[in-house]
Amino acid sequence: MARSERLSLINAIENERSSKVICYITGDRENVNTRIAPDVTTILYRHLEMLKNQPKIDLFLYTRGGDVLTPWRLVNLVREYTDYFSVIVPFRSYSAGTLICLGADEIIMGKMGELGPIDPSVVNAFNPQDPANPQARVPVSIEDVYSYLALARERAGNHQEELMDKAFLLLAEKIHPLAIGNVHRNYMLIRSLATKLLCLQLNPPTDDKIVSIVDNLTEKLYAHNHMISRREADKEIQLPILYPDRYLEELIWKLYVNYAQEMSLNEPFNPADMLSGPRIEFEVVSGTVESSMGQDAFVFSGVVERKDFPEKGQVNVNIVKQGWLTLA
Amino acid sequence: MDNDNYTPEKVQFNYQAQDTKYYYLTDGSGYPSADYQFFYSVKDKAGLVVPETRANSANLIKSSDYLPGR
Repeated sequence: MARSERLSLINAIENERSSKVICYITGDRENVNTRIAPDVTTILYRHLEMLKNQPKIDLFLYTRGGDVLTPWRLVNLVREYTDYFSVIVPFRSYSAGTLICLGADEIIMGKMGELGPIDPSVVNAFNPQDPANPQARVPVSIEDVYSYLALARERAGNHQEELMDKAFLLLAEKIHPLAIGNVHRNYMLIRSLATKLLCLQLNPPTDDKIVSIVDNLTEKLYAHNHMISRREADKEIQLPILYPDRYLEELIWKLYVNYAQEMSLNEPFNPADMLSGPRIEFEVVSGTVESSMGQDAFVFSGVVERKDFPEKGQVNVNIVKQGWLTLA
Repeated sequence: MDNDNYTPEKVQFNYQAQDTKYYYLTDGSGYPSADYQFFYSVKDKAGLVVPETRANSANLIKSSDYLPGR
Protein backbone atom coordinates (compact mmCIF):
# COMPACT_ATOMS: atom_id res chain seq x y z
CA MET A 1 0.00 0.00 0.00
CA ALA A 2 1.30 3.42 -0.91
CA ARG A 3 2.33 6.11 1.56
CA SER A 4 -0.71 8.20 0.52
CA GLU A 5 -3.06 5.48 1.77
CA ARG A 6 -1.10 5.14 5.00
CA LEU A 7 -1.20 8.89 5.45
CA SER A 8 -5.00 8.86 5.50
CA LEU A 9 -4.87 6.30 8.35
CA ILE A 10 -2.27 8.37 10.24
CA ASN A 11 -4.40 11.51 9.78
CA ALA A 12 -7.52 9.70 10.99
CA ILE A 13 -5.69 8.52 14.15
CA GLU A 14 -4.38 12.07 14.72
CA ASN A 15 -7.94 13.44 14.42
CA GLU A 16 -9.29 10.89 16.88
CA ARG A 17 -6.49 11.52 19.36
CA SER A 18 -5.99 15.27 18.80
CA SER A 19 -2.31 14.49 18.50
CA LYS A 20 0.56 14.11 16.06
CA VAL A 21 1.62 10.54 15.26
CA ILE A 22 5.09 9.19 14.49
CA CYS A 23 5.29 5.54 13.44
CA TYR A 24 8.37 3.50 14.32
CA ILE A 25 8.48 -0.06 13.02
CA THR A 26 11.45 -2.39 13.48
CA GLY A 27 10.78 -5.25 11.09
CA ASP A 28 11.01 -8.84 12.30
CA ARG A 29 11.01 -10.44 8.87
CA GLU A 30 13.17 -13.55 8.94
CA ASN A 31 16.75 -12.92 7.67
CA VAL A 32 16.41 -9.12 7.62
CA ASN A 33 15.49 -8.10 11.15
CA THR A 34 15.93 -4.64 12.56
CA ARG A 35 15.91 -3.58 16.18
CA ILE A 36 15.78 -0.52 18.39
CA ALA A 37 19.24 1.07 18.21
CA PRO A 38 20.87 4.47 18.79
CA ASP A 39 21.00 5.32 15.06
CA VAL A 40 17.24 5.92 15.07
CA THR A 41 17.49 9.02 17.28
CA THR A 42 18.67 11.30 14.45
CA ILE A 43 15.87 9.95 12.25
CA LEU A 44 13.29 10.63 14.92
CA TYR A 45 14.80 14.09 15.46
CA ARG A 46 14.17 14.92 11.78
CA HIS A 47 10.46 14.12 12.18
CA LEU A 48 10.13 15.96 15.48
CA GLU A 49 11.78 19.07 14.00
CA MET A 50 9.34 18.99 11.09
CA LEU A 51 6.33 18.48 13.38
CA LYS A 52 7.55 21.16 15.84
CA ASN A 53 6.26 21.46 19.41
CA GLN A 54 2.90 19.75 19.89
CA PRO A 55 0.47 19.41 22.81
CA LYS A 56 0.36 15.63 22.28
CA ILE A 57 2.68 13.27 20.42
CA ASP A 58 1.86 9.58 19.89
CA LEU A 59 4.50 7.03 18.96
CA PHE A 60 2.99 4.16 16.97
CA LEU A 61 5.41 1.36 17.84
CA TYR A 62 5.97 -2.17 16.58
CA THR A 63 9.15 -3.89 17.77
CA ARG A 64 10.61 -7.04 19.25
CA GLY A 65 13.15 -4.95 21.17
CA GLY A 66 16.79 -4.04 20.83
CA ASP A 67 19.30 -1.86 22.60
CA VAL A 68 18.15 -1.10 26.16
CA LEU A 69 19.87 2.30 26.41
CA THR A 70 18.10 3.81 23.39
CA PRO A 71 14.62 4.12 25.01
CA TRP A 72 15.94 6.57 27.60
CA ARG A 73 17.43 8.82 24.90
CA LEU A 74 14.43 8.45 22.65
CA VAL A 75 11.78 9.28 25.27
CA ASN A 76 13.79 12.30 26.47
CA LEU A 77 14.05 13.48 22.87
CA VAL A 78 10.29 13.22 22.25
CA ARG A 79 9.60 15.02 25.51
CA GLU A 80 11.60 18.01 24.24
CA TYR A 81 8.69 18.54 21.82
CA THR A 82 5.64 17.73 23.93
CA ASP A 83 4.32 17.65 27.47
CA TYR A 84 2.07 14.69 26.76
CA PHE A 85 3.68 11.62 25.25
CA SER A 86 1.78 8.42 24.43
CA VAL A 87 2.68 5.14 22.82
CA ILE A 88 0.24 3.28 20.57
CA VAL A 89 0.82 -0.48 20.69
CA PRO A 90 -0.95 -2.21 17.78
CA PHE A 91 0.70 -5.58 18.36
CA ARG A 92 4.22 -6.34 19.66
CA SER A 93 6.20 -3.90 21.73
CA TYR A 94 8.62 -6.14 23.56
CA SER A 95 11.67 -5.56 25.74
CA ALA A 96 13.21 -2.18 24.76
CA GLY A 97 9.79 -1.34 23.26
CA THR A 98 8.19 -1.91 26.67
CA LEU A 99 10.85 0.34 28.21
CA ILE A 100 9.77 3.13 25.81
CA CYS A 101 6.18 2.56 26.99
CA LEU A 102 7.26 3.07 30.62
CA GLY A 103 8.23 6.64 29.78
CA ALA A 104 4.81 7.40 28.30
CA ASP A 105 1.91 9.16 30.00
CA GLU A 106 -0.51 6.81 28.30
CA ILE A 107 -0.16 3.46 26.50
CA ILE A 108 -2.91 2.81 23.97
CA MET A 109 -3.37 -0.93 23.57
CA GLY A 110 -5.95 -2.69 21.43
CA LYS A 111 -7.01 -6.28 21.94
CA MET A 112 -3.92 -7.43 20.01
CA GLY A 113 -1.48 -5.17 21.87
CA GLU A 114 1.37 -6.97 23.64
CA LEU A 115 4.14 -5.82 25.94
CA GLY A 116 6.99 -8.02 27.13
CA PRO A 117 9.28 -8.43 30.12
CA ILE A 118 12.30 -6.15 30.41
CA ASP A 119 14.72 -8.89 31.47
CA PRO A 120 17.14 -8.81 28.56
CA SER A 121 19.53 -11.51 27.58
CA VAL A 122 22.99 -10.03 27.23
CA VAL A 123 25.73 -11.03 24.89
CA ASN A 124 29.32 -9.91 24.65
CA ALA A 125 32.56 -11.39 23.39
CA PHE A 126 33.06 -13.30 26.67
CA ASN A 127 29.72 -15.12 26.55
CA PRO A 128 29.83 -18.93 26.14
CA GLN A 129 30.22 -20.32 22.64
CA ASP A 130 27.20 -21.96 21.06
CA PRO A 131 28.04 -25.70 20.88
CA ALA A 132 26.14 -25.97 17.57
CA ASN A 133 27.93 -23.01 16.03
CA PRO A 134 31.28 -22.01 17.58
CA GLN A 135 31.22 -18.66 15.78
CA ALA A 136 28.13 -17.69 17.76
CA ARG A 137 27.90 -16.58 21.38
CA VAL A 138 25.00 -17.80 23.49
CA PRO A 139 23.11 -14.92 25.09
CA VAL A 140 22.89 -15.14 28.87
CA SER A 141 19.56 -14.24 30.44
CA ILE A 142 20.06 -11.85 33.34
CA GLU A 143 17.10 -13.28 35.20
CA ASP A 144 18.38 -16.85 34.66
CA VAL A 145 21.62 -15.97 36.44
CA TYR A 146 19.80 -14.26 39.32
CA SER A 147 17.29 -17.11 39.50
CA TYR A 148 20.14 -19.61 39.82
CA LEU A 149 21.67 -17.62 42.68
CA ALA A 150 18.26 -17.26 44.34
CA LEU A 151 17.74 -21.03 44.08
CA ALA A 152 21.18 -21.65 45.60
CA ARG A 153 20.34 -19.26 48.44
CA GLU A 154 17.02 -21.00 49.03
CA ARG A 155 18.68 -24.42 49.14
CA ALA A 156 21.67 -23.36 51.23
CA GLY A 157 19.69 -23.31 54.48
CA ASN A 158 22.07 -22.94 57.42
CA HIS A 159 25.21 -23.06 55.28
CA GLN A 160 24.61 -19.84 53.35
CA GLU A 161 28.16 -18.55 53.08
CA GLU A 162 29.86 -21.81 52.17
CA LEU A 163 27.26 -22.99 49.65
CA MET A 164 26.78 -19.58 48.04
CA ASP A 165 30.55 -19.41 47.47
CA LYS A 166 30.44 -22.84 45.83
CA ALA A 167 27.43 -21.90 43.70
CA PHE A 168 29.17 -18.76 42.52
CA LEU A 169 32.40 -20.61 41.70
CA LEU A 170 30.42 -23.18 39.73
CA LEU A 171 28.77 -20.38 37.77
CA ALA A 172 32.13 -18.72 37.08
CA GLU A 173 33.45 -22.04 35.72
CA LYS A 174 30.69 -22.12 33.11
CA ILE A 175 30.44 -18.43 32.29
CA HIS A 176 33.45 -16.15 31.91
CA PRO A 177 33.72 -13.71 34.88
CA LEU A 178 33.57 -10.74 32.51
CA ALA A 179 30.31 -12.10 31.06
CA ILE A 180 28.95 -12.42 34.62
CA GLY A 181 30.10 -8.86 35.28
CA ASN A 182 28.21 -7.78 32.18
CA VAL A 183 25.09 -9.58 33.45
CA HIS A 184 25.28 -7.81 36.81
CA ARG A 185 25.87 -4.41 35.20
CA ASN A 186 22.82 -4.90 33.01
CA TYR A 187 20.76 -6.14 35.96
CA MET A 188 21.40 -2.84 37.74
CA LEU A 189 21.04 -0.85 34.53
CA ILE A 190 17.65 -2.19 33.53
CA ARG A 191 16.14 -1.41 36.94
CA SER A 192 17.64 2.04 36.98
CA LEU A 193 16.43 2.78 33.44
CA ALA A 194 12.91 1.51 34.08
CA THR A 195 12.66 3.62 37.25
CA LYS A 196 13.99 6.73 35.52
CA LEU A 197 11.62 6.25 32.57
CA LEU A 198 8.59 5.90 34.88
CA CYS A 199 9.63 9.13 36.59
CA LEU A 200 9.44 10.97 33.24
CA GLN A 201 5.65 10.62 33.22
CA LEU A 202 3.61 13.77 33.86
CA ASN A 203 2.09 12.06 36.90
CA PRO A 204 4.75 9.56 37.93
CA PRO A 205 3.72 6.55 40.03
CA THR A 206 4.55 6.49 43.74
CA ASP A 207 7.88 4.98 44.79
CA ASP A 208 6.17 1.77 45.97
CA LYS A 209 4.31 1.45 42.72
CA ILE A 210 7.49 1.98 40.71
CA VAL A 211 9.19 -0.87 42.60
CA SER A 212 6.15 -3.08 41.98
CA ILE A 213 6.06 -2.27 38.22
CA VAL A 214 9.79 -2.90 37.79
CA ASP A 215 9.62 -6.17 39.77
CA ASN A 216 6.64 -7.31 37.73
CA LEU A 217 8.35 -6.63 34.42
CA THR A 218 11.59 -8.32 35.43
CA GLU A 219 11.70 -11.22 37.85
CA LYS A 220 8.00 -11.89 38.49
CA LEU A 221 7.05 -12.89 34.95
CA TYR A 222 9.40 -15.88 34.94
CA ALA A 223 9.72 -16.10 31.13
CA HIS A 224 11.40 -13.75 28.69
CA ASN A 225 8.87 -14.53 25.99
CA HIS A 226 5.85 -13.94 28.20
CA MET A 227 3.33 -11.86 26.24
CA ILE A 228 1.63 -9.22 28.35
CA SER A 229 -1.90 -8.39 27.24
CA ARG A 230 -3.51 -5.03 27.92
CA ARG A 231 -5.62 -6.52 30.71
CA GLU A 232 -2.51 -7.77 32.54
CA ALA A 233 -0.64 -4.52 31.87
CA ASP A 234 -3.57 -2.55 33.26
CA LYS A 235 -4.91 -4.59 36.17
CA GLU A 236 -1.85 -6.49 37.41
CA ILE A 237 1.15 -4.40 36.46
CA GLN A 238 -0.81 -1.14 36.82
CA LEU A 239 0.53 0.71 33.83
CA PRO A 240 -1.43 3.69 32.43
CA ILE A 241 -3.28 1.70 29.75
CA LEU A 242 -5.96 3.27 27.57
CA TYR A 243 -8.42 0.96 25.78
CA PRO A 244 -9.22 2.58 22.42
CA ASP A 245 -12.82 2.68 21.21
CA ARG A 246 -13.79 0.37 18.36
CA TYR A 247 -13.18 2.92 15.60
CA LEU A 248 -9.72 3.94 16.86
CA GLU A 249 -8.77 0.30 17.38
CA GLU A 250 -9.73 -0.49 13.78
CA LEU A 251 -7.58 2.37 12.51
CA ILE A 252 -4.62 1.24 14.61
CA TRP A 253 -4.88 -2.36 13.42
CA LYS A 254 -5.30 -1.34 9.76
CA LEU A 255 -2.16 0.76 9.98
CA TYR A 256 -0.20 -2.14 11.47
CA VAL A 257 -1.49 -4.55 8.78
CA ASN A 258 -0.45 -2.02 6.16
CA TYR A 259 3.15 -2.00 7.44
CA ALA A 260 3.19 -5.78 7.88
CA GLN A 261 2.12 -6.23 4.25
CA GLU A 262 4.42 -3.54 2.89
CA MET A 263 7.44 -5.07 4.63
CA SER A 264 6.24 -8.69 4.18
CA LEU A 265 6.84 -9.28 7.89
CA ASN A 266 5.20 -12.69 7.78
CA GLU A 267 7.25 -14.22 5.00
CA PRO A 268 11.00 -14.95 5.22
CA PHE A 269 13.24 -12.86 2.99
CA ASN A 270 15.02 -15.24 0.65
CA PRO A 271 17.10 -13.33 -1.91
CA ALA A 272 17.90 -16.59 -3.74
CA ASP A 273 14.27 -16.65 -4.92
CA MET A 274 14.93 -13.48 -6.94
CA LEU A 275 17.77 -15.05 -8.86
CA SER A 276 16.99 -15.75 -12.51
CA GLY A 277 20.54 -15.31 -13.91
CA PRO A 278 23.93 -15.61 -12.27
CA ARG A 279 23.74 -12.32 -10.33
CA ILE A 280 21.11 -9.84 -9.12
CA GLU A 281 21.17 -6.77 -6.90
CA PHE A 282 18.47 -6.25 -4.29
CA GLU A 283 17.16 -3.69 -1.81
CA VAL A 284 14.84 -4.58 1.00
CA VAL A 285 13.17 -2.28 3.52
CA SER A 286 13.10 -3.68 7.02
CA GLY A 287 12.35 -0.77 9.30
CA THR A 288 10.61 2.55 9.05
CA VAL A 289 9.99 5.87 10.79
CA GLU A 290 7.04 7.71 9.29
CA SER A 291 4.89 10.72 10.08
CA SER A 292 2.64 13.07 8.12
CA MET A 293 5.81 15.07 7.35
CA GLY A 294 8.00 12.37 5.84
CA GLN A 295 9.26 8.81 5.74
CA ASP A 296 12.60 7.16 6.49
CA ALA A 297 13.35 3.50 5.88
CA PHE A 298 16.05 1.12 7.03
CA VAL A 299 17.30 -0.51 3.83
CA PHE A 300 19.51 -3.54 3.29
CA SER A 301 21.21 -3.44 -0.14
CA GLY A 302 23.05 -6.41 -1.51
CA VAL A 303 24.01 -8.73 -4.30
CA VAL A 304 22.99 -12.35 -4.80
CA GLU A 305 25.30 -14.51 -6.89
CA ARG A 306 25.05 -18.09 -7.98
CA LYS A 307 28.36 -19.96 -7.77
CA ASP A 308 28.79 -23.36 -9.32
CA PHE A 309 32.34 -23.75 -8.06
CA PRO A 310 33.56 -25.41 -5.83
CA GLU A 311 30.03 -26.72 -5.22
CA LYS A 312 27.24 -26.61 -7.75
CA GLY A 313 24.20 -24.47 -7.01
CA GLN A 314 25.73 -22.45 -4.18
CA VAL A 315 24.14 -19.03 -3.66
CA ASN A 316 26.08 -16.22 -1.98
CA VAL A 317 24.35 -13.21 -0.48
CA ASN A 318 26.51 -10.12 0.03
CA ILE A 319 25.11 -7.25 2.08
CA VAL A 320 26.83 -4.23 0.53
CA LYS A 321 25.12 -1.49 2.50
CA GLN A 322 22.65 -1.12 5.32
CA GLY A 323 21.27 2.00 6.90
CA TRP A 324 18.54 4.61 7.17
CA LEU A 325 17.42 6.33 3.98
CA THR A 326 15.05 9.28 3.62
CA LEU A 327 12.24 8.36 1.22
CA ALA A 328 9.91 11.36 1.67
CA MET B 1 -12.11 -42.31 -4.56
CA ASP B 2 -12.62 -45.94 -3.64
CA ASN B 3 -12.60 -45.91 0.16
CA ASP B 4 -11.86 -49.64 0.39
CA ASN B 5 -8.55 -49.12 -1.39
CA TYR B 6 -7.59 -46.07 0.65
CA THR B 7 -4.55 -46.63 2.84
CA PRO B 8 -3.69 -43.85 5.30
CA GLU B 9 -0.18 -42.64 4.78
CA LYS B 10 2.10 -40.82 7.16
CA VAL B 11 2.73 -37.39 5.70
CA GLN B 12 6.32 -36.27 6.06
CA PHE B 13 7.15 -32.59 5.88
CA ASN B 14 10.77 -32.14 5.03
CA TYR B 15 11.65 -28.76 6.51
CA GLN B 16 15.14 -27.71 5.61
CA ALA B 17 15.31 -25.25 8.45
CA GLN B 18 15.82 -26.13 12.06
CA ASP B 19 14.39 -24.22 14.97
CA THR B 20 17.39 -21.93 15.44
CA LYS B 21 18.43 -19.11 13.17
CA TYR B 22 21.67 -17.17 13.54
CA TYR B 23 21.81 -13.40 13.26
CA TYR B 24 24.63 -10.92 13.03
CA LEU B 25 24.39 -8.17 15.65
CA THR B 26 25.74 -4.85 14.42
CA ASP B 27 25.93 -1.59 16.34
CA GLY B 28 23.06 -0.07 14.35
CA SER B 29 19.47 -1.05 13.66
CA GLY B 30 20.37 -3.74 11.11
CA TYR B 31 20.23 -7.31 12.34
CA PRO B 32 20.49 -9.62 9.32
CA SER B 33 20.99 -13.34 8.91
CA ALA B 34 24.52 -14.48 9.81
CA ASP B 35 24.52 -16.66 6.67
CA TYR B 36 25.06 -13.54 4.60
CA GLN B 37 28.46 -12.08 3.74
CA PHE B 38 29.14 -8.51 4.78
CA PHE B 39 30.98 -6.21 2.45
CA TYR B 40 31.79 -3.63 5.13
CA SER B 41 33.00 -5.78 8.00
CA VAL B 42 34.68 -9.05 8.85
CA LYS B 43 32.17 -11.11 10.75
CA ASP B 44 34.48 -12.60 13.35
CA LYS B 45 36.14 -9.27 14.22
CA ALA B 46 33.20 -6.87 14.53
CA GLY B 47 29.75 -7.59 15.84
CA LEU B 48 28.48 -10.80 17.37
CA VAL B 49 26.63 -13.77 15.99
CA VAL B 50 23.69 -14.78 18.15
CA PRO B 51 21.19 -17.61 17.94
CA GLU B 52 17.49 -16.90 17.88
CA THR B 53 14.75 -19.45 18.30
CA ARG B 54 12.15 -19.39 15.58
CA ALA B 55 8.57 -19.22 16.74
CA ASN B 56 6.53 -21.55 14.60
CA SER B 57 3.19 -23.29 14.90
CA ALA B 58 4.53 -26.37 13.15
CA ASN B 59 5.93 -29.18 15.24
CA LEU B 60 9.27 -29.33 13.53
CA ILE B 61 11.06 -32.64 13.24
CA LYS B 62 14.49 -32.69 11.67
CA SER B 63 14.49 -35.03 8.70
CA SER B 64 17.50 -36.84 10.21
CA ASP B 65 15.40 -37.63 13.30
CA TYR B 66 12.59 -39.12 11.29
CA LEU B 67 12.48 -42.87 11.06
CA PRO B 68 9.79 -44.40 8.82
CA GLY B 69 7.40 -46.66 10.63
CA ARG B 70 7.67 -44.90 13.98
